[in-house]
Amino acid sequence: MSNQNQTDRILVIASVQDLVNMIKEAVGGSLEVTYAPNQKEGLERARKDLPAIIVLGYLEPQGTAFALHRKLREGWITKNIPLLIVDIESADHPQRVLSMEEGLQMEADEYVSLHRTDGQVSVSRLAEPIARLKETLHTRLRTTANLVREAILDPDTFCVTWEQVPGRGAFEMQQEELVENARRAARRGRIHAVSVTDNPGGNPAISTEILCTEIRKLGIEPLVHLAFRDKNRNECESMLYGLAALGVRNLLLLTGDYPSSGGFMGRSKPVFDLDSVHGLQLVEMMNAGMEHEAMGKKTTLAPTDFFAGTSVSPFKQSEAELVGQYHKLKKKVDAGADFVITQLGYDARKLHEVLTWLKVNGYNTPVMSNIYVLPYGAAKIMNANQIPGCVVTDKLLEEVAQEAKASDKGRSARLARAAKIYAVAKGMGCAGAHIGGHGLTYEMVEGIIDKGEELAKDWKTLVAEFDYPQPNGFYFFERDLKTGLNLETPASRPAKTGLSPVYELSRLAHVTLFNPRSIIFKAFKPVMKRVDSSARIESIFGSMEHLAKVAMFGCMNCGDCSLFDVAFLCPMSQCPKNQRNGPCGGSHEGWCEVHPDKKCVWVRAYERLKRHKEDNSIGEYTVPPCNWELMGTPSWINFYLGRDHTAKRLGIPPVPKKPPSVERDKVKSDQKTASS
Amino acid sequence: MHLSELFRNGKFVITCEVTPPKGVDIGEFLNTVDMVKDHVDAVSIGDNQRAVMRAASLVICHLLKEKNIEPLMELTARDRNRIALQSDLLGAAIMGIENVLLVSGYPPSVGDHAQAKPVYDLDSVSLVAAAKALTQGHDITGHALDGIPSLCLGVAANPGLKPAEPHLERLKQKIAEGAQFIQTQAVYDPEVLEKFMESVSRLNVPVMVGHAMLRSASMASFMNSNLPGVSVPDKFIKELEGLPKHQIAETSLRISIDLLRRMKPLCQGVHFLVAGWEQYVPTIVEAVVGQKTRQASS
Repeated sequence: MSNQNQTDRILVIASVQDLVNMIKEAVGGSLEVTYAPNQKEGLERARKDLPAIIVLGYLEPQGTAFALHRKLREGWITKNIPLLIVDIESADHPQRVLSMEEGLQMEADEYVSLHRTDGQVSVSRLAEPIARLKETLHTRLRTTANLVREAILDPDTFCVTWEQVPGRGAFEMQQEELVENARRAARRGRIHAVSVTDNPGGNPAISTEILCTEIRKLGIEPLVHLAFRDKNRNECESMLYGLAALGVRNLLLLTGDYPSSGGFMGRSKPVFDLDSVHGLQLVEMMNAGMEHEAMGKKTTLAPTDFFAGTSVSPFKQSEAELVGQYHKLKKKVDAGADFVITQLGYDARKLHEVLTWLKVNGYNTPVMSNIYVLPYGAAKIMNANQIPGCVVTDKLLEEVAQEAKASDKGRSARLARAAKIYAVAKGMGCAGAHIGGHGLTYEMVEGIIDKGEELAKDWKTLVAEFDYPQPNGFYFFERDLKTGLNLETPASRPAKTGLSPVYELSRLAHVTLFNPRSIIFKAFKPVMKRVDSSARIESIFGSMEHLAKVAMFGCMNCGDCSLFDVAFLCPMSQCPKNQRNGPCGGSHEGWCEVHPDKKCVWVRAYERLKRHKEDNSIGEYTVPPCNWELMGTPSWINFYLGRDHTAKRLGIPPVPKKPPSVERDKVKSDQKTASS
Repeated sequence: MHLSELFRNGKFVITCEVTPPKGVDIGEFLNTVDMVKDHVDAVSIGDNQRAVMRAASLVICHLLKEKNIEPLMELTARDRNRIALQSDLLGAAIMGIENVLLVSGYPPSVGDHAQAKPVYDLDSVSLVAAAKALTQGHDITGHALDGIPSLCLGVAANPGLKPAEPHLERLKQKIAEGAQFIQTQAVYDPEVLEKFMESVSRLNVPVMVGHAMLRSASMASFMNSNLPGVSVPDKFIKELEGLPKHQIAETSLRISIDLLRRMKPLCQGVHFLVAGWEQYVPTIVEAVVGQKTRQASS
């Protein structure tokens, strides 16, 4: 999804045009050469065209070139564009581009002084600096050289990222250690990125985006986690612009754990305005150059260069949860996910399942295996299901407990386990490893890499050590008895029977009332228009609809009804994370992460649909985020009059809403008639 | 205090050039002086340096003197005849400005008034002779002075210039006429400095090596192409190539510190020419000589 097709353009700014010809000759058609004859046009072009290189020659009057060079160097848009200053010395060029004083303060990338003898200038002397500047461009911000992207996409490189967990507070030891870890990693150069989690566990923490811009300055690529729990769509976009401008390009887009109860004066408001599929769509749009309208004028923004990954959680116990995960993964990959990081887990067959699923479905999206160095304390918490989505089975817990009795409290054993997962992940074809763990030092991470690389060639013998199925755990594919991993044959998913009266009734209503091709729909449409034309009738109608839907679905009156998309379960009222495109990764054996006494809506939806053999419909289309413009308006009218997301998908033509001023005038005139 | 006295006491003398304003607003100039004043023995004030017209060196030096900051006043023979030059030297001495650097000066063509008439009534050798005469109680035509100025005379040299002999010959003349210390053009190779020190060792005059921080790869190439005698080695240019802005300063700082640490044992002082990058001078000084040079004036 990343934008790599920026035109390679070279902009020449000079009072005399002969420099253009020289540059053209020097680049020999490898770059498109454009020309600006003065400071004003030069600056305009540099800002609008975003050339790959700017060449600055003599500008009238003396001193202009230096002033322009300063502006280009300081300008927000142009500061990273490589700049070459060319001086041509000859009888008809008596003046220098820069005076001596100016030259000593020059901040261009390159300077070339050419001598003209008998009207001839050695153009070859320009070729080398231009070639170097092309390289420079590739190492600068807003450019294509992203070591993480390269490492993940290169089949011969096993990408390693190291997860850091920031804490609450501005100046705390946790922050100190995090930055120090990043510094060590940057110096040693063995890992490709340092990732920083976003308000981990739903607790407030110092912002990942600010830490990541600092980390980038240390000389290593950061990987910014973005959880949609705390930021609405505008805030996400805003943050992404900031990151793009500062050259932070690698993202991991996640739903996020539910807010913890430890927020300031209580639990924070969960946002979940977008889900991770929407987030990927947003990034895709920004990378393509987002189009928007301002003051009635359409503009296209300069494309960003994000490399965005997402997560998947194969370590799910029930069929409904797991199939839901893969349906959602399909949407994420279709939305443009550049890579996928798995949830942490210790079951090799499950990790292999993700690779197999992608392969069987024709995707070549790279997968990073999440390797969490597991100490006994964390194992106990995860086994008790206190960290959403993190599975440690009883068998694994027992082993870790045994290891913890050693004199090093199990340290060498858990590092060895991590190295083995590394080897297995690499061997089975993962693109990389995402290493994490509390209290890990850089040396330990390097130890895992070294040991893991050493073991990788014999990875098949290690698979048996990572056999931790959950009780009655469902696997998407049949087991391959030879390898202990998966065949490409999907496991059977026996049909379900049984009835849910509300669901059956809703289905019936849907087929009759909400099918744009049905006679009833056509008959009702003028009625809906009538309702829509009067504020008073609309309000009465809305209240009645709302009451009925509150009784049946706990309706929150969002006006952009998604009941059709979730088998008549409401993601606004019945899913605490408002997931419209599939389950989050937090459920446990089918139960909700937030309300453990309630079934996950997506598990229920799967079961409902499966009875009608329609369970694949979950992955069929992406539901857009709720349009808050419709909040509090009757969703049936929005549907009939083509205003909500479903209507758009079904091609119902939109009927524009009358402006409120007309409504207000009408109410006023009604009041007048009543009082007279 | 005369810089020559500091040399005599065995001090590694540090000066830094701060560019006077082109205009009458001196706020930024004074801020810049504040950045370096505690780390240098004198702040050097150019005289329409590199032929760019700026506020008068004499006046600026007087301002510094009032603030208890030791100035080093540059005086160039390009813009004044022998009457004005002697007159300015007397004026300076009256104000207590006693350290002066006497140079012939770049021609107007390199600066921002290319059409200006170059004076060069005296050259750098005869200018030293004139200043020396004043300190002996008479002007160059032999007229006696009322009160004798106390001046410490510095001159410029360019160790990288080739061929070296004519240049060294002139330098010897300047010393013979009474110059008390030498400030050099920027040197980026300790071997070049070492060679130069050997060739001036018999003159027995302290030498301050010139040092300009590398602001960018392009600035280094510019110096190589446009400043005779200056040669920035390729390895430094390569180090700076392609670096983002924040890393340039860091790298350049490291280059400066490494270089000056290696050159410090060879010479008696350093003269910084860092127009716009004065904020880095304290760091370099502390790294090279290990402490502040001058206690903050109270």
